[in-house]
Amino acid sequence: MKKKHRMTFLLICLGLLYLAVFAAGFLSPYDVAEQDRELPFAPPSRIHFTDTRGALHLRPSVCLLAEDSVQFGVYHEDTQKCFPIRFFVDGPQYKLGGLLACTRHLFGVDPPARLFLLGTDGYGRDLFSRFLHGGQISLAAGLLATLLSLAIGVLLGTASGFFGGWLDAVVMRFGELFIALPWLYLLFALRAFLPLNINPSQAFLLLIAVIGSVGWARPARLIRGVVLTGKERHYVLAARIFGGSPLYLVRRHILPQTYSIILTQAVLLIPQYILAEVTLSFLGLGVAEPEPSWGNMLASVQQYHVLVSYWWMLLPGIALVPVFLGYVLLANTLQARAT
Amino acid sequence: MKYLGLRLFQSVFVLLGVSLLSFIFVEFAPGNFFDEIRLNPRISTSTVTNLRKQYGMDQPLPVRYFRWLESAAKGELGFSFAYNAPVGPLLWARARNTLLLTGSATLLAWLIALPLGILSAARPRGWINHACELFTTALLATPDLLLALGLLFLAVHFHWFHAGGMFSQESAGQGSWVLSKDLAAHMVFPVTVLVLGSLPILLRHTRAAMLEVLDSPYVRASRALGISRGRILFRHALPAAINPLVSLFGFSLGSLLSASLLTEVVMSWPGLGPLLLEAVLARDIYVVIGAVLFSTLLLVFGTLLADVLLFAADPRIRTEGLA
Amino acid sequence: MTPLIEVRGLRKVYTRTHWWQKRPAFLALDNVDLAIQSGQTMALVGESGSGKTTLAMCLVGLEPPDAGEVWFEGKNLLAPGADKESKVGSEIQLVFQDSAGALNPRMSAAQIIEEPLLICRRGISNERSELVLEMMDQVGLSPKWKDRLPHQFSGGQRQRLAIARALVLKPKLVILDEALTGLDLSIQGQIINLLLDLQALEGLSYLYISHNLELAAQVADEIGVMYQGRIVERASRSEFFSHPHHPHTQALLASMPPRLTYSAHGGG
Repeated sequence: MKKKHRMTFLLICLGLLYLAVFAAGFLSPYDVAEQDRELPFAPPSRIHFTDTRGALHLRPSVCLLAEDSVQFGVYHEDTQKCFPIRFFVDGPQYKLGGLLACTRHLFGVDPPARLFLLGTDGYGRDLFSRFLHGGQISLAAGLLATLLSLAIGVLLGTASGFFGGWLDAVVMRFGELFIALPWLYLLFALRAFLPLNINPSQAFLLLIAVIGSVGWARPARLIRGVVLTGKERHYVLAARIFGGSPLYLVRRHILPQTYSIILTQAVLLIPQYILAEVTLSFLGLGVAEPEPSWGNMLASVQQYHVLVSYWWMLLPGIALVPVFLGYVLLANTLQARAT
Repeated sequence: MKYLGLRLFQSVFVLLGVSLLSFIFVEFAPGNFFDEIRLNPRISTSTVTNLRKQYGMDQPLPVRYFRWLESAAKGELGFSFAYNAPVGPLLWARARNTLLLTGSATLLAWLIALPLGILSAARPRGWINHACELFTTALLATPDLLLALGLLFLAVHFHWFHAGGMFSQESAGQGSWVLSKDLAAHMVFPVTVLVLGSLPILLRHTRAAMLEVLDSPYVRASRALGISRGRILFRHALPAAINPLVSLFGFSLGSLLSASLLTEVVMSWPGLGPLLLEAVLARDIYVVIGAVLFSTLLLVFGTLLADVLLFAADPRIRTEGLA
Repeated sequence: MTPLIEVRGLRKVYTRTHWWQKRPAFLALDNVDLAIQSGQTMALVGESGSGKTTLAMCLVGLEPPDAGEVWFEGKNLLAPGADKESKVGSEIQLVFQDSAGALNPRMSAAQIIEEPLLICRRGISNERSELVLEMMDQVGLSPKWKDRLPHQFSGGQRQRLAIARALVLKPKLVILDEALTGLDLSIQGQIINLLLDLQALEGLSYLYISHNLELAAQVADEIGVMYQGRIVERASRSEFFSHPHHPHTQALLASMPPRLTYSAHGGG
């Protein structure tokens, strides 16, 4: 596949993923907090295209699930009682994009049937819905934290490279520390020194601030390098002769030279930061229950009985692979384009 | 020698700096261990106040810092509130286990990455190179967390090796041969996760370093002179590529520690990872500071080691100051 | 007649700025004196490291000299409190050697020529666009190309663009630092003619810096030789070729192909 086509393809794939997660409210049949105490750890629903009499239908359907009377966590399907899956149904209210209140969902089933595309967790909550909503948190955290890191990196890197002197020395030494120290230890240390019990939106912002302030150093160093050589270019000197102020020189001539570095750094940082959020939430230091995040959804897998019996609980982790793959291939393509 | 002395001095400086920064950071942080205890209704306020006095937490910052420095000099590195014991020995016991894991993983990873990287660079169109590329991409797409959980899943389902912990119950009190076998069996999964996690970067950089050297004029001149490929590879190219690789070694230690933290927690390996996590959750700050400092120490030591190796291996550095 | 620009005792020393590095200081300019009359061209010849570019940097305000005076139209540019940058920027200009590096690859030809006007806040949008097109015409670039990027021009055309940019603020002195080096011979001729035409039209003075005595001889009224930071010879063109004084000048002349010595005496 030609490079330009490959990049477009990858961007479209990632874009679709982000879109799906953005439309989590529309795409998920249930609310994230809705519990079904009768169906904890239910496996993913089996979708049938045949009805109770064995005839083929275009419309998929789902059969009623009942828990085994003896064993906990084992379920049997009642193939006599099946319900069709409807599209564009009315359901629990959600806010599209956080603003528009809607009640229409892409698909759903009438009660008492339940459609659990990815199964349920220990509280009987639909994992598919939680997965999509959790994706909002994890993916958004990755993007926002990257923005923060790059902002700090561009600011400090440009100042360092442009002005040099003691500012440069201090910033670079400080940055070396951040590059060299293990990132998870840094995250822990930062997180440790901040309050533990805070409400979810504060936790989210705090998480972004902590993650973003750990990874500024590498972008800063790279940008500084570009600025160091960039400010000596003759067209910058020419602008200086005309009387261009430092701010003008940076804005007009030097910063544009950094754009490609910023792009490559962004593509590298976003997946790392998504992983950082997932890891922190997994360990209990990030987004806390009941708000879903791919990290805290994975946390229950640490329990032995969950790991053994309920394989679908691993899906949030497996979902990371296509996301990472997309970014890795994008980074490879960008690098191939640069050389 | 003077060079090494300078680097040592710098390292001490770095350690002091990190410890000071941590202390100052804690000062600004809301909440601490005692606030958490205070939430427990069964502990009276006077007990908390007494505890605070006992631990010297009511003293001003500089006093606390100096007392901490004193205890650091004694090897205690402060006091753990949760464990009710000095931090130093606590850290060291756990650190040994972590070092066991990370040490083995580093060795194994380099043992695999070096030959593969060299071979990949030597035959850019060969199947080894393509396989490595595929492998690297696949690994880069799989985060450590998933690797650890995945392996744990497989272990539990197929009863491979031992999942979790460092020793089995049965082997307690047995002879050292049995204990070693048991330990090795328990190490397989954590080490595998760590090795798989670090391979992509090592492979990439090794191949890149070798490619760059193999492309350089003097290597091509050697080929033109008719020197055998093998000799070129090992006598000329590899030593020249050592420089960036040794720097890589220094840098890779940091990410290895992060990976091991996570792996230890997931696989219940009694290393620094679970200790640090507990300490963070319990706001046991001296343990946290101690652990961060230890990782800094390890890193500083690693880079120093790398510098020494570089000094010994690269004649250009040895003669640098002599012109 | 008062010269347009007069340099007295200019001195520049380069030292290592870091406190931990001990390198000996490098004397780039050692008591340099020169003067250029209005409408005249002075050529400054010397090998690499003789200080020619440093001199240019000091004159144009990019590097501060350590000692000396620069008198421009009767004012000392280096006096404390003198509004250096903006004043010098519009009166003394510089054309670099590498046209590709001297033009921002992301800016169009029109944007490049307009930039000085924007920085110095001259005129309004319409006036600027008109002036840009006028400049392009003057240097021999078709106004159709105003939206082209530098890489779409040839080397000679880029240099014309650089000259247009240098002239848009109507400077009095233009310093050409190896501006013809690296161009094809035929293109060199064209650019030289352009420069001479512009000089006649606008009354410009040129300081032409080069390591190539041949090129210098074609344009200069006065020639100076720089050697190790000092001006070791300074004479009118005819004087220079007939009665060189300094051994270094003599060596330079000796290394030149014979035909030029003839042309220096004859026409051209």
